[in-house]
Amino acid sequence: MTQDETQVSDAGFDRRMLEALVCPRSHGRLEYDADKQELVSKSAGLAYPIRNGIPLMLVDEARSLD
Amino acid sequence: METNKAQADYWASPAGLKWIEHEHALDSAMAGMLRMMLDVAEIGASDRVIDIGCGTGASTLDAARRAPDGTVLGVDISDPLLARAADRVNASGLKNASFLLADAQTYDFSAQPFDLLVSRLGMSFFSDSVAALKNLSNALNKDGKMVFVCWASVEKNPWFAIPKSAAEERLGALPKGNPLAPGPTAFQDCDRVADLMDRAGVSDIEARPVDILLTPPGGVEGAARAASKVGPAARIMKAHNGTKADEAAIENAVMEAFEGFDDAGTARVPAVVNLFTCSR
Repeated sequence: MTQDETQVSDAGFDRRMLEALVCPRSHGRLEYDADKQELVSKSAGLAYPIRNGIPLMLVDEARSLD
Repeated sequence: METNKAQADYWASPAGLKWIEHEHALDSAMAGMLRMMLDVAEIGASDRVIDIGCGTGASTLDAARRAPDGTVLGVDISDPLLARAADRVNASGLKNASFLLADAQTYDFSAQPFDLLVSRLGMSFFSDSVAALKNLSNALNKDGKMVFVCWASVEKNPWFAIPKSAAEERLGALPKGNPLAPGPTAFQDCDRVADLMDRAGVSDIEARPVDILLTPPGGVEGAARAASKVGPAARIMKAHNGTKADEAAIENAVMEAFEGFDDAGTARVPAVVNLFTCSR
C-alpha cells in the first residue's frame, strides 16, 4: 500500500470512488495531493479541497492554481 | 457555475443547520419512510449505491448497513451537514460509506457508475429537475435503478399542515409561495414528476403515494417541538420575527392538535410520501 492509499483510507474515502471523481468544470481527471489534501485539476487550473475526508467538488470551493 | 447555489447557501444557514440540532428527532420521525424506501430498493450486499441529498447521513448509514460488501456514496451540497454525516460514519465504525460535496444536478458521476440511487427527500430541490434526473441516470450502470421518496402535499401531511396553521393563526400567513418550486413539496404531484422523469429519458417509471407513520421521539410534546422547529412554522416565525412567546404558543397549539396521534405515549403522525422508481 502506498502512502497515498493509507492517507485516503484514513480520510474515510473509498479509493475507487476517489479515482472516479472528475473536475466539475473540465470533466477532466483529478490528481490526489495527499500533503495538501487536495484534488488537482490541471485541465481547469483548479485544486479542490478535501475537508474531513470529504472532497468538495464545487468550483466556488476550489483554489486557483498559479 | 453552481446552479444550485441557493440550496448550498440555505443548507449552511441557521435554518439548514437546524437539521443538525434536531437530527435525532427528525431521523427518528422519518425512520419509517427510510425503511420503506430501502426495502423497496432491495439493496444487494455488494451494491454500489449513491444517496442524493444525504444531509447528516442517516440514509447513507442505513444503506451502507444493507450493503456490507458494497459501497455507499452520500452526496449533498451542504458542507456543515456533510461534516456531521462524516462524524456519524466514523462513530459507527462502518467502512463502506463516504461522502462527497457536489451539485448532483450537474456533477459528472459517470466514470464509475452505480447500481442504485436512493434519496430520502433529497430529489425535489433541484433548480432543473429534468437536467438533474438526466444527469443522475448517467450515474447509473445499464441495469441501475433509482428509488426515492419525496413529500406529498402539505394538505396531506399534518406534520406540516398543523404547524403551518398554528403559526398562521398566531402570526399571520405569508404570501402564498409556489409549492412546486424547488423545495420539500416540489414533487407532491406524482403525475407531474413521472412526466419529468419521462422527459429525462429514464424507463420503467413508477410513481405512487405511500401512507407511512412519522414516529418522532418524546411523545406528543417532542413531536410538536420537532414539527415546529423545522418546516412551515419555522419559516413563518422567521419571516415575522416571532418571539419566544410566539414560539411557545405555536408549539403548544401544535401539541394540542397532535394529541389525536398519541398512542400510549408515542406520537404516530400519519403522513404521505410519494415513492418514485425507475431504471436507467
